[in-house]
Amino acid sequence: MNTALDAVSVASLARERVLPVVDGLASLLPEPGLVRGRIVACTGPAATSVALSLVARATQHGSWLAVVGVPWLGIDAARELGVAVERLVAVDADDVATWAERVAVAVDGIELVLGAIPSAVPPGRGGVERTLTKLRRRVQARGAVLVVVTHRSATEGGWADLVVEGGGAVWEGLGDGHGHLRRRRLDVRVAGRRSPLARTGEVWLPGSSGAVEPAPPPVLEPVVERTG
Amino acid sequence: MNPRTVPQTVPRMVPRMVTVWCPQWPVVAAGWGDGAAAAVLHANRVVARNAAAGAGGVRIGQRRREAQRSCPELTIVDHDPARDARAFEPVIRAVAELAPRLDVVEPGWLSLAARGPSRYFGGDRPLAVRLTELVADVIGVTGLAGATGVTVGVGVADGGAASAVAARQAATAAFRAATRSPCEPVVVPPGGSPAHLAPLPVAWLAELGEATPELVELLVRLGVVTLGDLAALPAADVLARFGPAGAHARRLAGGIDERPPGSVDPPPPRHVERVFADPVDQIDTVVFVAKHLADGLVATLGAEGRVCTRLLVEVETDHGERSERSWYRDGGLSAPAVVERVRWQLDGWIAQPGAVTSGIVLLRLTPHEVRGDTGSQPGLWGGRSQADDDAARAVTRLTGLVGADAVRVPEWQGGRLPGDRYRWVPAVTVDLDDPHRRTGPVDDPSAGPWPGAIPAPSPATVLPDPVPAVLEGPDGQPVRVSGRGVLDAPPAAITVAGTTRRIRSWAGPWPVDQRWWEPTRRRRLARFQVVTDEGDAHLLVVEHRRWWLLATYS
Repeated sequence: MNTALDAVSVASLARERVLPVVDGLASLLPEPGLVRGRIVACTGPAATSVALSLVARATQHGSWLAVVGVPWLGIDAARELGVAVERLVAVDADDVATWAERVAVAVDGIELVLGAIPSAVPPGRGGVERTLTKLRRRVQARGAVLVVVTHRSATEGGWADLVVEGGGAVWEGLGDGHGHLRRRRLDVRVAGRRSPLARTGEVWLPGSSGAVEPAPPPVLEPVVERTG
Repeated sequence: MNPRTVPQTVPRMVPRMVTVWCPQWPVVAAGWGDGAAAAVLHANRVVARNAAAGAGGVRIGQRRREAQRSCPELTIVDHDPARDARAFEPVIRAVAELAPRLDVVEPGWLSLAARGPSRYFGGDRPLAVRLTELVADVIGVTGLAGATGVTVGVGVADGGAASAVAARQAATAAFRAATRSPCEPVVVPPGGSPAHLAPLPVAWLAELGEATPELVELLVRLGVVTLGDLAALPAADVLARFGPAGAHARRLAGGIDERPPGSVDPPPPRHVERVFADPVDQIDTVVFVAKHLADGLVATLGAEGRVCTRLLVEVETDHGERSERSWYRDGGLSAPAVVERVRWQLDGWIAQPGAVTSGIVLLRLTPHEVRGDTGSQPGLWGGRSQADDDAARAVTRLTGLVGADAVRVPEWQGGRLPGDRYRWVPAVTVDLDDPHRRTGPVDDPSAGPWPGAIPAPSPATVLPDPVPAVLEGPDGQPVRVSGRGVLDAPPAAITVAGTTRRIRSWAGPWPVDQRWWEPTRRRRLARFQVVTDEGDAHLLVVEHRRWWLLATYS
């Protein structure tokens, strides 16, 4: 019931601008959802799960998700984190140029694109940052949201509007030769070019139910000096 | 229900129809029509099985494991709609020589107007008998029938739905009596459709694909058990309670033709076509063009609140060879459904030896029967949205850019290792609107977790190719696991690609013994979960004393 009401309120306030995000993560974002036309970078050891959790609620509400250049994506994990797998389409991409080209086509009709930048860079076509800056204009024009899973330095090149870092993982459930992984406490840190303060918070990701579960409320801390 | 209470006012417009139905066509097309038990599975569910499998307790809709449990000697064949279409093509061609205007509903099921051919053969029954023999002969010639022949159900009645029921009854009767071939057709006398349908259970509507299983279940719960019960209800009440889908079901139950009474004649047919300047050899290319045409056609009709229920697909080659098929779907043909039928037709045509000697130069789609969209399209009930349309278009464009094999959607198949649980199928070959697509185990709550799978959560990173790893004991030596699952030392560190991490906690082994009944494909391995000091969790396997990193809980 609660989630249905939340969905309605989000939809009526800013339906055109914001795609809904699960509660545990939405409270950490500068706006209560994914703003259309933005690029979100997910970093840290838990980047993939964080990225899947960010897009999950929107796919449940009817958005499609294109997964470009992430051949290692675990579909089981996506489903458990709440992604509507029946609206997921995967596209191969081997190098940065083809990746950018395919993302550009995908954002034409698909609201959410989850991508990992391939490590192969074809020679002579400018760097990864240049490609992403060009892609940014396309994403803005189409009003899509591009979520990039990356292990590069979070703010490198400044192409991401928002950087969501998942780290400091502590797993529960596994013992010394017994048990199985059950849930993970994760420190999530959200920084962005538009938000002066980084927000940090703890979530269970995955929680004992499989999806994200909120932990204590977020605290504000001054943003750390950005290193170029 | 007394048949007399059934409305007897069958409108004059209900045409007399013949339906030819080959039961369990996918299994016949696969070459397992008779003999040893065999079943065709799609997404881990039985979609068709032969008589021996039926006798062994295999049921439609059963899961793979249940089917194998009830019938251990069962041969399992993967579902291939293109194979079904190819195998049915000779039947279509043979029947088309008797009656050129026939509608193919799906491979294994076609219908045609009875009036003309019946007059030619001297009545409905001679026509039905002739068709039964003809189809059985054609299937016999192709070598699919096997020793005992194949069951062919032929039914004649007023209206397409009633004749489809009659055809199924004919096939079922033959199946029960084990007479198999030839089997006796069922002919419902003119005007007798309502009385014929009245005593049948409402589940027939779902069987014919005319109503959803949910609607049928609801009707039964409300005490509407037979088609006669449903037909006896006031039309307005049914419409008010169940919407257009219910009204449609009531009309069929009353033996009234599927076309709503009072519907206007279709507007003049407007075809869409594409002429290829260079003859096209690739089926895929033609199918992509068909997708484009179908999108346009369905959108144009949709803008007027109409759907196409009968579509003529014409294809012509550079040398003038033609293929012409009329496709019928009562619920209306969505764009993906049109594309699927174009693919069936092309596959079937090209498989004919000598039928096609050059590239394709023309593709034309002509809507022959159009009716008001009553909302019975599955997509509308399933909440088809602008986002779905946009996504379908983006998928088509991506496929054109990248190739069909590189744009894929996941299909659930189940398994014990993370990489086995989904398989990837090209997105263009799947009806993305289908609400019953198998995308996860959750749509079967009674099934419980996959036996032997590690409980959730699942790893977010599943390496396409496992990476060699070493799990070391306290002494730095690789840990060895005995056949009984006993470790010679507790794991203390893991080395992947030259980097060693200390292990904080671990669990295992969870053994897997796959396909133990097949010596060449048998795999024995043991799975482990480990968490390193950094908090990274991994899934490892050991097989033949070698360790592999399979997945990371990233």
